[in-house]
Amino acid sequence: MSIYVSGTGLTKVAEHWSDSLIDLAVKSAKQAISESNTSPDVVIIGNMLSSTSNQENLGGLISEKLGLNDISTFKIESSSCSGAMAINVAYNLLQSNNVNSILVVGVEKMTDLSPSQIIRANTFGESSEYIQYFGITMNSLYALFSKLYMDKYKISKEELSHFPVLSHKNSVSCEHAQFRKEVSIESISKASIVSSPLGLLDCSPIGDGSASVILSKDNKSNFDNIEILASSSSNSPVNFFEREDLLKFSSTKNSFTKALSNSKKQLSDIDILEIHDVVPAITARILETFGFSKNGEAVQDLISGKYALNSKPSISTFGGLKARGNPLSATGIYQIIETTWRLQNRSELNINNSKIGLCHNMSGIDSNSVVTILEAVN
Amino acid sequence: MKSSTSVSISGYGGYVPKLRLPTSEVAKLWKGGGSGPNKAKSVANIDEDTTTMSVEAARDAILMAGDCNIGAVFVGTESKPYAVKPTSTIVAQALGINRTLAADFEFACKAGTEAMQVITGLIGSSMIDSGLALGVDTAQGRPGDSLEYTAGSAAAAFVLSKRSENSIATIEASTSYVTDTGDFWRRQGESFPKHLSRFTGDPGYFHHVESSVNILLKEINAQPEDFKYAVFHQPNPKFPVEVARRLGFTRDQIDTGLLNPEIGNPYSASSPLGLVAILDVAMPGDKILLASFGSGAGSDAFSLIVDDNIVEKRKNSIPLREKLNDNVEINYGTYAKIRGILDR
Amino acid sequence: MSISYWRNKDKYYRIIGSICNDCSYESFPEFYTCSKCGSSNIEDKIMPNTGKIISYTISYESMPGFEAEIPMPIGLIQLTNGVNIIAHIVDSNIETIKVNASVKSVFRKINIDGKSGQIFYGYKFKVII
Repeated sequence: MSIYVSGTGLTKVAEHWSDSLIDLAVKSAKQAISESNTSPDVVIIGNMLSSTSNQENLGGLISEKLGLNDISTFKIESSSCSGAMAINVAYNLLQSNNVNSILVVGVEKMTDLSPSQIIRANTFGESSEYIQYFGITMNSLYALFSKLYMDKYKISKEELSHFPVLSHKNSVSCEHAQFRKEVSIESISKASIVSSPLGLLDCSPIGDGSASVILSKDNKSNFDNIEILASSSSNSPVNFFEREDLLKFSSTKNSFTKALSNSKKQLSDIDILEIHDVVPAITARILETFGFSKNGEAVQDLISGKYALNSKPSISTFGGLKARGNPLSATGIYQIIETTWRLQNRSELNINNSKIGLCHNMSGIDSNSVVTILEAVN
Repeated sequence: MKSSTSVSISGYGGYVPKLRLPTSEVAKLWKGGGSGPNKAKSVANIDEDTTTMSVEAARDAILMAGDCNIGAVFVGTESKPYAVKPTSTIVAQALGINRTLAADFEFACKAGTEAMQVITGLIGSSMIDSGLALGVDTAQGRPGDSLEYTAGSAAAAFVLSKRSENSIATIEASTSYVTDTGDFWRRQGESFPKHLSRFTGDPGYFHHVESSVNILLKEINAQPEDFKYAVFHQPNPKFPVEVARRLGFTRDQIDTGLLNPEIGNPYSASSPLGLVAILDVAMPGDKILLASFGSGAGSDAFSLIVDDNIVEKRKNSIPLREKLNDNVEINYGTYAKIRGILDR
Repeated sequence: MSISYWRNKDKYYRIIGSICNDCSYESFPEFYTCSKCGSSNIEDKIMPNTGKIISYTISYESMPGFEAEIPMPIGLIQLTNGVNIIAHIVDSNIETIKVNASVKSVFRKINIDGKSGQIFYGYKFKVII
């Protein structure tokens, strides 16, 4: 049985002052439904912060606005990988005979909150009693991890800056990206420090966004067949500092291994990687965990030209979390759509004749992850 | 007053916040230059208060006291973080003690020594084995007022127990002398105290300290020269020196416990902290006079005799004077930020 | 926050975690089953109050209530029993905050609920020379 991405829709990642959480969701969902020429049996919403808008029951509210009645609808939350997790749940549900097509909507509204409330909301996935209580921010956790990685492999902040440089280079032509200007190593070094050693241009931005897909057993859209070969997820201890090896990404490793095995593909088959490149050191670790680079060498590989847009695999091809943006629960679905568009060669977006894409979305510092593998099939 | 069973200090601890505001910073702002009567004052940081300093001092005192069954936790302060909710229960919880008396005492700068008196009675009557007395304050001075130079922050903690071979210094006797004298006060809801300037001197400080000490000396039939050390409440560097002179004590006797020049006046911790500094260097057999003063007004006077085991008991603790050397000077702006933010 | 704080006060005040009575593995925060051997034979254990810094960062942004503490040094600390903990580092000159520096726990205010709400206390650490 094949499962296809048969409809896509997304909003720009931006500060959408005029759109509410529901408005954004409806906008991207309508596009996806329209493209798919299908009406879904199930509607799954991926979202993590709706309580900050005092809103739950997103499934009910959004489905109603889409004119969808007598369907099963609910919200999936797994912190910042809620989007990909919603995809994963949809994929698994579609294995049953009862369901034919599922609308998956990722949506996040961050900018109604004050700056310091956003900082707290970003940390909702970490322990309320032992991390949030002490005012320890997500960026500080990323920074503590980054320093461990940099100290162990003797990698400098400047070297790691090559990741955001690549992201911003790739987002210039991406119409839905939050940031579309290139940045230099120098501007990254000079940017104000958020939590040392991470500066403003090392951290992924705050933005609103919604991305939706229809996953179904047949493809009635006007676009090429993109099949989901596999979707796997795995967890590991939420606090990275409680793990035996503080730099090891077991969740990502297990999701990846399972997905790759189920897809019956090899590492060398993968053309495109849309990974959870939330800060440079984590990006490096993800690539090393997959096995594309040896431990501690991802940055060197990047500097020597690996991972660029014209290489195989290429990463963050539309800017990734850093430049396209990171509206938390929608991010995982932006990844799926970007990969789908490239593999379908929409608007001549295909690069290097790519056929296989891998999407990786993570919560916190690898406490939970989802890996989804897509292939252009005929 | 003498308790029927001998009561001793079995552990002590002093805590002074790291930050110092040089009085020259205060003088620069309000007088255009110069300095105050003391060199600097200690300032509690944004994340410190009476409770946090109490816990730090108490932990040191209990560590020194060793295994003891604490039945009273009394915090003497006039800067309670809560007007209604005891600081002492937070301190007790932080020390893992629940089966205990707990209360906050208030008597301006003598609340700490008041706590010592009451605990002495509780131990002396065998109602409890040991008790923890704290004198602690984050004193606030109204901006531009003379008190702004001296109002400082610190905590002093004493574990008192029945006298044993574990004792550090035994309370030979104590007195308390009070009158209704409103030399310095703070009304409910007000942020800063008010005072009657020079009236706080003779009718306030001097009358009460001289009275309690003279009553004590008469009771135990002692003379000033019998004491190796004397420590008086220190609202400024001058008063303790003057009252010592009037009572017949020498500069040598009071120097060890004189902390105001360095840290200002941490109110309820003032004379108790002076006692801590003395206990850091006193030797077996030394006699110590302690006299506090609390506005409103009253004075507690104690005669203590140092026990044989003091050197062994204090060997693992860092002397207060050494701790005082680890400090960081701040400017008035930082001081204002710390004080202002406390209102958030 | 108040009631959740009350529930956790011993953990915040005295850093009480867990020990597995079967394999001696210790943990902070507490666990319900041993993350090493899976046993449920667990009891409370007070964590050591000293350790060393294994990573640190200085934060220039803050959550509500922490604005006045910027720049905020945060440390990842390995306690002497091997348990790792994340906490603020206070009262320490910036040059002394480095990997392998020895630290000791202190009792401080963590946050306050405005002018009339509750005061929240807990552990932070400071560098000891």
